[in-house]
Amino acid sequence: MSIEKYLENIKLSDKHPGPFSVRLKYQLQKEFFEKRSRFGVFSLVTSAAAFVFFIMSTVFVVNPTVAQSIHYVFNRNAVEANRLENIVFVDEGEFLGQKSRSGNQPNTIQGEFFKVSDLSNLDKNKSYIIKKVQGRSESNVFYVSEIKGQSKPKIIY
Amino acid sequence: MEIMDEKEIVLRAKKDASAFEYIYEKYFPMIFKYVIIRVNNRDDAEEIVSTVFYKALNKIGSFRWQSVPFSAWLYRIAVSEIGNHYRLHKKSFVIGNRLQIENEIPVDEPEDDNFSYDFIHQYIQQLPQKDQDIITLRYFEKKSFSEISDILNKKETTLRVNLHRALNKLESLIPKEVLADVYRKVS
Repeated sequence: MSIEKYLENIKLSDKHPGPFSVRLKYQLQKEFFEKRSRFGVFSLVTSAAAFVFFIMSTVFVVNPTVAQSIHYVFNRNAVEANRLENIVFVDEGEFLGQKSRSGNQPNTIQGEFFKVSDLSNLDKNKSYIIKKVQGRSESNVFYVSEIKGQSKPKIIY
Repeated sequence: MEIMDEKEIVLRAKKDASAFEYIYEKYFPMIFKYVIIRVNNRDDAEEIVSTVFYKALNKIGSFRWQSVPFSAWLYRIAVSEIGNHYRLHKKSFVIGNRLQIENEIPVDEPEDDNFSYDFIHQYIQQLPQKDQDIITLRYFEKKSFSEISDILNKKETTLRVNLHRALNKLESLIPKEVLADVYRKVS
């Protein structure tokens, strides 16, 4: 008889893990898979946002008018302002000679600009400042402002 | 799931909850049994087994099939964690204090008390950790020398020598009259 034979005859008690097995499995699943799932959704959203930002930045650099168009979608007033900025004076003449670079208008100019498509409709007895607008979709559109206090009829282009 | 190659399941277990569940159901019982035999205390065993599976899941990406079987890899973590547990907690075992496992139903008869694990464990736990590992794996886990070699990362010939020395140490720890009694009963 040896110690080996003795050890081989040792009776082990029931070593059943009981509810611990289920409890540990639940904890491991919660720790490794639910957390990973949440992290996965967060990283996916972050990646998608970064991708969209990259595409938009690239488009804005390549074609800045896209950014301008998007701006107009959210700010309609900016469309009109942009058109006035694009006014081209065909003949600056006397008017520009009176206009200061600081942007102050001559005293004689009081009226608001209004849109006219046909200049023949204007009153021949009045003086006007006519600004030709080069819009993107429209052409040969004129913005007209009457020069009040001008005795001699005169049209400035 | 049954038809899937276990290698693929293990590789998937880190990301796939169903693959992890398969791995867990298959290997948890053997790891728990080994740990509770080694420490002979349910609370300590649960703490160690929890750590083993947490570490296993964290490191499963580094597991390589070329070296050892997956079960041996889990056993290695368990052996390491048991060693860490004793070092950290500086367990001092009182000889003769038989640790009762909660909710455990003893299967041995009262007259065969010397053949209960609780009885022999009080002597086994006085051995060095490496000797406890070999004896537990060989006689209570019924592992072959080849399997123990994978788990403890030692050559089989070395293990046989170590086991022989461990058994001699154990025999010297058990009182002569107790040994004579158990030898008489076995024969």
